[in-house]
Amino acid sequence: MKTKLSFQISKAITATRSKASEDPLWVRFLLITIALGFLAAFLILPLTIVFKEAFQNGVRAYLNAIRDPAALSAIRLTLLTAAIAVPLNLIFGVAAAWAIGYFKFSGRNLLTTLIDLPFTISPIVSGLIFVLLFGRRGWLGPFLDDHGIKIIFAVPGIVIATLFVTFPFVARELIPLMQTKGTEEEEAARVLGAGGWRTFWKITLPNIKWGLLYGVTLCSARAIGEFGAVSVVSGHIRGATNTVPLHVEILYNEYNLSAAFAVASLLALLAIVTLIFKSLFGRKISIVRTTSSIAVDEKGIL
Amino acid sequence: MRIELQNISKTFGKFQALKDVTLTVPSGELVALLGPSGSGKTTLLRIIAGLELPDNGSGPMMFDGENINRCPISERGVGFVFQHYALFHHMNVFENIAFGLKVRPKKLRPSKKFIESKVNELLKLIHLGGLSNRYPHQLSGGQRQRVALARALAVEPQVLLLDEPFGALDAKVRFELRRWLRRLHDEIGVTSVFVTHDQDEALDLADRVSVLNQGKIEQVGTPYEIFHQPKTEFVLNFLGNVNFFHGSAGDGKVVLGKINIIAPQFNHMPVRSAHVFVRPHQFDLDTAAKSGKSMPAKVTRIHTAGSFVRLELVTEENEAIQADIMPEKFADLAIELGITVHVHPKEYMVFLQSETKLQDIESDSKVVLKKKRSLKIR
Repeated sequence: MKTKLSFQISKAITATRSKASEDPLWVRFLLITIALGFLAAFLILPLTIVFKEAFQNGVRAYLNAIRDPAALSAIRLTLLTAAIAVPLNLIFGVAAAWAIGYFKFSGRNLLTTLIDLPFTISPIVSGLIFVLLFGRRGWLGPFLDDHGIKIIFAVPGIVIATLFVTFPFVARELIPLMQTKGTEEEEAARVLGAGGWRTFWKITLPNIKWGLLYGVTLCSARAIGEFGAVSVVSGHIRGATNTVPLHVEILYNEYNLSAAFAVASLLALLAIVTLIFKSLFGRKISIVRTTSSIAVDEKGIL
Repeated sequence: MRIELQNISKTFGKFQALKDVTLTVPSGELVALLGPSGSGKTTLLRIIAGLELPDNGSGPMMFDGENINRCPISERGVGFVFQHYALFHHMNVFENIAFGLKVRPKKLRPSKKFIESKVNELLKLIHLGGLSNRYPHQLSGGQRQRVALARALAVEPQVLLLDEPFGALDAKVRFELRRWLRRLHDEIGVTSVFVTHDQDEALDLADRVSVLNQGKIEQVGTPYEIFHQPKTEFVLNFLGNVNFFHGSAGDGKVVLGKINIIAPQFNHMPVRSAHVFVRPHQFDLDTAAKSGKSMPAKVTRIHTAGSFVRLELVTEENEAIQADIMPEKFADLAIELGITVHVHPKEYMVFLQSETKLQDIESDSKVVLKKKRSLKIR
């Protein structure tokens, strides 16, 4: 009886040990509570409030706020800006990642560092850079004035500021992907007779597509949601140079709260959609990475 | 397809990977580029494929007498098998093998039906008939290697280049694939060049072996020539274990330690210091001394697992020697640990000091037993 009991005890001990091998229960409980508490207080609560405020005066008021000509014009401008900035950054990102991942040239490290510049710089400063460059009293101001080209306080300025702020996203995502993958598959395709373009479309692109979509998703979200830099160069002209985030601010400043939240809810919805896509693509990337790393492992063992 | 390379040099930054390499690969032969890592063998292979460009000032590269220096990779008609296979991991086995045919320009592209039958034919050749829908990560190392080979052969290359084809496989698979590759080569007869750092593989598989060291070709020859008539100390050292002695030659004899060997080829030469090499199997052992012809040595280790018995010995001067003898001889002499035997070199190789450069020999130690491993690492 005694031996049986001690056996059971030792079994119980090993069971709890193997389950809670890292931390005691109270530590895990505390950490999980803190994390979830923060999430609820700073993310879920505000998001709920946005939608609650948006529908405060009923569905009709909500739809009217969005159907308002100024709002529609802001949506149009925002989509236009994203439609220009995202493809350009896609091209830039692939080119930069290709250059950094596959070529060795002087200034390669500098380029890698500079790509992060828009992340580290305050958006206001990014906006001011372009005011100083293209503004009436800026470097290129007199030249642009002479030729009747308007960049600051006009659509081109908004596009340029958005381009600047969003250009790291695609490149950031692709550089590590291309660096770890190496060039062997591309070389194999070349030897088999494929030209440069065909190699890119058939070999490189399929290998990077999930990372590319991931980067494009983040880039689009930022292009649509950017406030600071765009605010500086836009001039806030209703119906002309107002993007959705700027429109929200104007409505808010006019104490038109339910309209402000109605338009803001569009951005919130976009954020949720982005998150879904992001996690979807992110999972695909990690699957691709693990399968290729398994391949690498096997090479190592064999 | 006969390959001729003349005075090929290649520099990466400050590192000169190839120095004035000239090499001819006769049509239909299977040639090995053998050397330690960093010897430039892979660079040479990649230059033949067009994946690297030789330095300006290098001589011409010719396929059947035609200069291909300016010929782009895709038009050289080479098949290349990469060390880690470089299979397209988002394509299945069938698509991998068909790739080379599918990317041909429209005019030269075979019909879908032809491609299908060609791929199936190749799948049969590599014994992977049922696996055409598998993806590379679902295959074993040996299977991937064969798919890589089939992919390279699909475009019917005139030259087949293989970079360490068996480097990433375990010993048993490696041996089987080696035999299979040799049979395949005999069947299709395509001129082939493969890179390896494994001398057994090179000697076993190739018609001709080219030994590289520090960007230069040390010797080209049949496996027999390379093994039995090495032209340089490096080649001798690289191909298998060898015992090395500081000795002298001249006046009609070769001297190593207390041993004097009559050597008529040095009759008319004054005595010069020399490096004397004796392979383990070239030693004869006896329990009795032959005066002037043998030296005493104590047995320190005995390895009996194998087709011969490998003995580790220490001479009176505290120098280590390795000797391989037949098991019968081992039994006859009743060799045991700790006893003293007398070793006598039946054959030896001499490199006169002033004529050969000393690169890979530690000159301060008097006798050095060279093991393959230590050389490979370097």
